[in-house]
Amino acid sequence: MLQAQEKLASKGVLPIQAYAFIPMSQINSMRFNELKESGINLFIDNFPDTDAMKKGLDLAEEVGVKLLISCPELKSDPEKTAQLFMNHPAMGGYYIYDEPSVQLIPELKNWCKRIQSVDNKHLLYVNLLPNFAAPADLGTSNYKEYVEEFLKQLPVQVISFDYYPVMSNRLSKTWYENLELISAESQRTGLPFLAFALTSNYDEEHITPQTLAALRLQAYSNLAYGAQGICYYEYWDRTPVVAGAQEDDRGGPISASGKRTVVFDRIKQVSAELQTLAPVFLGAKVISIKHTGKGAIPKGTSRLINLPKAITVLETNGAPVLVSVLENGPNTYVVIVNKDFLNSVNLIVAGDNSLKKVLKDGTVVPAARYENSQELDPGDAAVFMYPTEQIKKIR
Amino acid sequence: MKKILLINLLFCLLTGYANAQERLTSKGELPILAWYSIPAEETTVERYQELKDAGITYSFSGFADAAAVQKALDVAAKVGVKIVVSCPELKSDPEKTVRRFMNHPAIAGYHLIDEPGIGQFKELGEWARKIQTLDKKHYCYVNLFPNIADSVQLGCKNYLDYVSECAKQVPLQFLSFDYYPVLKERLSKTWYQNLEQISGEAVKAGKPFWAFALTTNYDEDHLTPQTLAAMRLQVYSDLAYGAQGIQYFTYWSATSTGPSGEDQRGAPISAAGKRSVVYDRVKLMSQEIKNLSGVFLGAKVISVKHTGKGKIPLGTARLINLPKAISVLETNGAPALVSVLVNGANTFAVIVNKDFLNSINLTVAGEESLKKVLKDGTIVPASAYATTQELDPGDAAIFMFPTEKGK
Repeated sequence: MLQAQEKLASKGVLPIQAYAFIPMSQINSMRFNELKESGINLFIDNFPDTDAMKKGLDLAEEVGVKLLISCPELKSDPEKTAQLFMNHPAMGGYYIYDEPSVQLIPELKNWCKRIQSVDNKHLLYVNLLPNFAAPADLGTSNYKEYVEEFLKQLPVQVISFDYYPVMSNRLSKTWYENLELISAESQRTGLPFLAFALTSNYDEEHITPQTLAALRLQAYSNLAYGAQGICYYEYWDRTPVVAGAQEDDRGGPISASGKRTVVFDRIKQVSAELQTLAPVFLGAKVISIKHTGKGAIPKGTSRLINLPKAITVLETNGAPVLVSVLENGPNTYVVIVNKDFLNSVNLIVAGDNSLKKVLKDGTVVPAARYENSQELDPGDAAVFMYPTEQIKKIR
Repeated sequence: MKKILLINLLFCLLTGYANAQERLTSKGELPILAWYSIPAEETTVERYQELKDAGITYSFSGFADAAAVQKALDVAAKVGVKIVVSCPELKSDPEKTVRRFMNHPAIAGYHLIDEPGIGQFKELGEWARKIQTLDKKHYCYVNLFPNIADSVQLGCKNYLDYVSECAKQVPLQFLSFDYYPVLKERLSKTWYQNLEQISGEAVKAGKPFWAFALTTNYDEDHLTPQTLAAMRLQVYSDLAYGAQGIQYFTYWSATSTGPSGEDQRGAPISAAGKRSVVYDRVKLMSQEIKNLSGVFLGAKVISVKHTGKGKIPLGTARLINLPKAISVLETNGAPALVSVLVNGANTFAVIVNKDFLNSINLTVAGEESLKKVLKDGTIVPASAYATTQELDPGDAAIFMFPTEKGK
């Protein structure tokens, strides 16, 4: 007779999106199944026409994944194209634009409105620039203004921005500042946000090939800041380096010759972890996000001073971690992320009797079952849980 | 609430089906045994469930009396774990003790002794025969010294004599030996030699063998706390040499080092009964073993070879001929072990990264029949992967091809 273990209750599927770039010659069910096996459930591919788009959607339906509509006709005849695809079961939304400047807002706004005149159910996907983009690229004097302008003028249902922070031996200095701003905008507008994990080389300054630790650090930091989905950039390598972009779009899960790389197995593992822990993050309300560790904390963030309720000790011996408190219905979660993607940290957590630990397989055990001091792998997250305060429920 | 609605908007209709993937089939699961398991005073369903959750299937603790064994068997049966019986009455009155427990659904076997000298084999043989007169279904278990034991401990000068005498004199269903090879920055030099010796003697005796992975501190020379890489290296090397069972030493920490001088802390469960980080690692390791049982359980070892620049370990053989179906196998000089195992219709090439601190770049190319076995037990054509893959520290890459007809 088995004892029923406490497990996280499912709240739905966490969107795991990818800039897939599967070549048209490889649009087939074997490749779509392979993509699904990696844990991706929503993806973007640039289809040359509506016929190819239709074929892609049919295959996606067969396999059980979703596609964003991206074909020239979506631009040239948005109403007709939306009409054509809006009722397709594999339709995941409309891919509008990547990293636009504010100068494009009128054009994009018009485009979105034309689509929404036919279909206002599916999301319109625009991915914004990161905060280190130059004013010339943003089209504004500062990043906050850039984000606010888009959210004010474009009828998007989701905020998305890309930032690839894991360099060879350090994190980019303004990544967490960017997450702070996007997370705050998400809370202000009530729109969920998606954030990225780099799954290709990008350039010679970034870590390569992407490690489990780097992928975890990006995914768990994003989710700790309240992200409601993760986007992998990118899935299928493009060689030679794409003209104009200067990016090294190799080292992805699938090589340019169509072979799986070690990154395929790693995103498969991370995707499975994220999906198991989705009930922690899906629909969660961010209560606080704090940083701790010796030395300066990242720009734009705030230092952990008060411990989350139910936690009496939280110590890292000076190692850098992020501590997020997320409220999700009757449960409140504390997500502690090891911000060091090269070294493990010794994390000491003690709490009251109500504190539980959420394991990677989704089981929930009293935190007291574990030693207070635990080694936390590079980039990994420890997740704790306690009951949401009753008074908050009444409110 | 708005966020939830968006997620629903995206995924409420996501009902497609996945392609049926080829998966390993297995005749069963590899036994995973824990030494110094749950103490008698902690015999509860909760504790045994916790042990089972770590993927451990057999529990071994030395109990003070038969009543404690009975209690452990009754609790273990409730969660589906098996117990290796060990209590003073098994020695003082084997007939009565065996009769008491032999029909219990949770009995795995009988533990006789740990690390005996050759001079004890005769008596152990008699003891085992007494037990087996009554109960032939459950195994008698003796764990042998490693090859680093001195002649005083072994009771003879030659380790091979020690092992073969045990196989001859004691009617065991399998051989077992313990060796904890992962030191802080290097592997013990004679570990692979020991695996060669045990694997060879097991074949001669027509018996399987079981081997160990260290899950405690042991001493200041060993790696601590045990990493996933160190555990993988031990487990996959054992299995690559044909081991048919894996043993964790230990499950429960002891607070004092005791007369043995071993530091039995740092185990999956601390002396205070709390889970350490090693618990989660053991759980992950056990899940991998379970997923890959179809590779190793019942497999016949065809060859075990070593490659890499510099000397290969004492007593081992260098890889010269590649396994059939593999046309390229390259590590750029990094140390790897290459085992070929036949398991019915399938032959497996198991390649272990012997470096537990660094990953290696493993290049493998083969003919069309070559497949790759993934950690979750799924099987894909090897050609679906790029030929060069980073192999994590201590980890194994497993390939599969059809067994040649006539073998």
